[in-house]
Amino acid sequence: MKTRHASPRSSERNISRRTALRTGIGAAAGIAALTALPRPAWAFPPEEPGEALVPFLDMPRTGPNRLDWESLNEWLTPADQVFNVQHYGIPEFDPAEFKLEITGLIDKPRTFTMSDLKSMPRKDQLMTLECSGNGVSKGFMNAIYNSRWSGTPLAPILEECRIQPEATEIVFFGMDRKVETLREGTPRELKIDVPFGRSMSVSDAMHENLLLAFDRNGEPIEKRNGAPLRLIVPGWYGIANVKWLTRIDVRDRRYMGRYMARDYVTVRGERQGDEVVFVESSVARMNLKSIIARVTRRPAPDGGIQLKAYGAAWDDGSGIANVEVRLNDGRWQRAKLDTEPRGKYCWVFFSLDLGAVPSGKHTLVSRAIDVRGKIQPSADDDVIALKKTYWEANQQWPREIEIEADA
Amino acid sequence: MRALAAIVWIVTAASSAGSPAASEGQTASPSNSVSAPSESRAPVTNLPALHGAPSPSAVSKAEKSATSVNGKAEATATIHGIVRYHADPARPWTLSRYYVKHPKDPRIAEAVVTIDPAPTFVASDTREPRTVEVDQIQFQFVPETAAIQTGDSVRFKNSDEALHNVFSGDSRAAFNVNMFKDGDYVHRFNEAGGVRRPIHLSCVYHGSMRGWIYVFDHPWFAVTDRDGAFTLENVPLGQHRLQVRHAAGNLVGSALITVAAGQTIDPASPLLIEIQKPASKSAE
Repeated sequence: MKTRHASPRSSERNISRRTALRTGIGAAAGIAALTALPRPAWAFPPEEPGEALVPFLDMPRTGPNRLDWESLNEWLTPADQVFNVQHYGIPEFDPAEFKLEITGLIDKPRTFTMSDLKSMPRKDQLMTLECSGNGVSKGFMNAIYNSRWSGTPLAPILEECRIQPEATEIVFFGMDRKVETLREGTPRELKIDVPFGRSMSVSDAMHENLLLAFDRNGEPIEKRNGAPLRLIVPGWYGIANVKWLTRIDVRDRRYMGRYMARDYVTVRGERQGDEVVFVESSVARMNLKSIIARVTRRPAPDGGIQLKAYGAAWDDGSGIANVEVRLNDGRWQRAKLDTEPRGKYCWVFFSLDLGAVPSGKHTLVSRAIDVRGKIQPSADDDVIALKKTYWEANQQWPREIEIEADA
Repeated sequence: MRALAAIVWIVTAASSAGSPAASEGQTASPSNSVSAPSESRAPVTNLPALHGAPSPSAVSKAEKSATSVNGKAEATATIHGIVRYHADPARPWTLSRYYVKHPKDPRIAEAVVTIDPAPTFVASDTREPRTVEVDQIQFQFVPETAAIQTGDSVRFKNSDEALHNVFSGDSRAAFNVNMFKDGDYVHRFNEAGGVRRPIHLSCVYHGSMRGWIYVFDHPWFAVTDRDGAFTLENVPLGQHRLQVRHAAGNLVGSALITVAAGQTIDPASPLLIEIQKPASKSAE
């Protein structure tokens, strides 16, 4: 099994973290070198040094267009492992007629064609995008991928449009539309034909790293992932990364579309003294999370079986400090984090040699710890146990394996 | 499309009316595997006539496996084969680990094998229709691939705690049924799509769940087991094209075989047939 940090790729080592983080056109060459690395061919468990995959118990087979954890070997996710979820279907439209409008409380409304946008300053943004429903069940564990998005930054465009002082909210609308029914089955039932929309505050939308993206990993974004134009919001769950982006609307009050106010709303109990108070909040930034992607075995020198765990950890860009792994009821052991490649808004790969284990069933689990000391919660911690909706399932995910004595 | 390779073992039977031809006792050895009978284009009409007494084992097979066309007993054979995955390093299939026994021993499970075009087949009113079970366990259809004959049924079950659904939008067999835990839904399949047009199964709640039902209007089909092995019984003598598909891997393969009377192949020295990768993605 190829280890992602051990192979001597000099171009990989020479790309410093600072280079990977640096925005602007100058970084493109460095990032291009990063992604021009020979793509490691998926290796079946190799014969040498005898490292073999140990499949997880009771997990479904990975399906198409989903991240395959057990073969995780590429920091930038290949296109055939990229998920797509859309609530209003994939819209049909003539790409030649596609336009991006900037409207609302701005001095200078603008309309852009794709060729307008492609002639503007180009920037790359590395980002791991996770669906906020990822982890709801063992049947939906693979909705995450890492990318180098290419496009033009949003902030300069909004600056040029001159946002008016009373503006507080920016809404992003897609080409996808649906007739929604409000207050269904009541005397006040109301049907409205609406585009898909998500919003954020002006200050969040003006962050320098928001990108109007048209390429992913050097190829045009696929139609199912939002072609020709997708909003990329580093550190925010997939729902905020509006696909088929066609209108940006600047407003002076909260946008309460379905996917801000009714769905993708986390209901969580919070302890206030002796009480539990339930608070509803809109899904936004990605929560601290990690998972053991795969476990391998190889013969131990003394004739036993040695295990190794590989995995990934990610958050909203705050910074992963450590990942720890526990085997059965043992102590938390610190895993080795890959030093390269890295990105502020990207997953980091980790691995840990777990030593010799007896044959039989074993449980392994990882937890991520960020630079502020926040620890990825377990299913029993309040932040998960008192969460009554399924989004933002960032709890530790134990993996079950069984080792037979025979290699 | 990625290539499948088939190793085909053929064991023949004589008809109950006759016996192996004078060429009995010939064996096919691996050395002439590539140019062996599989490559011959001998037309069916040139089959050796059947004479003499059948060998004891052949007779037992013949008596059990003789098919009847227009009331006459016909000679048939049992085909034992193994399907292997031919990996292309330029186009790796990362999910092959679920199906392929080992990279050094790439026998592949859940491949569907059939004779296509099928020999003449007259459906019998006395055939007992089968019911095959397809369960939903750990967010997966189990088995992921099944093959049945027209008139057979599938009993869908849900052994998971979660609410699932079985959905097929195919006009030949359409259903959309919510499956609570321990749910049960039986669907009878009356229209065949053969090896090229299986019924796609999905669960509307869980997009990764998928499965396939292959429906044939004849009995010559099989699904390979964990060792990549399949058996086709009651195969009439003559030249046949075996078609092999693997839905999950989008794999294609075929083999031309000739089943001749009196031919004995030692299963320990199988007839090896290499399948070439189709030239274009759409080649079927």
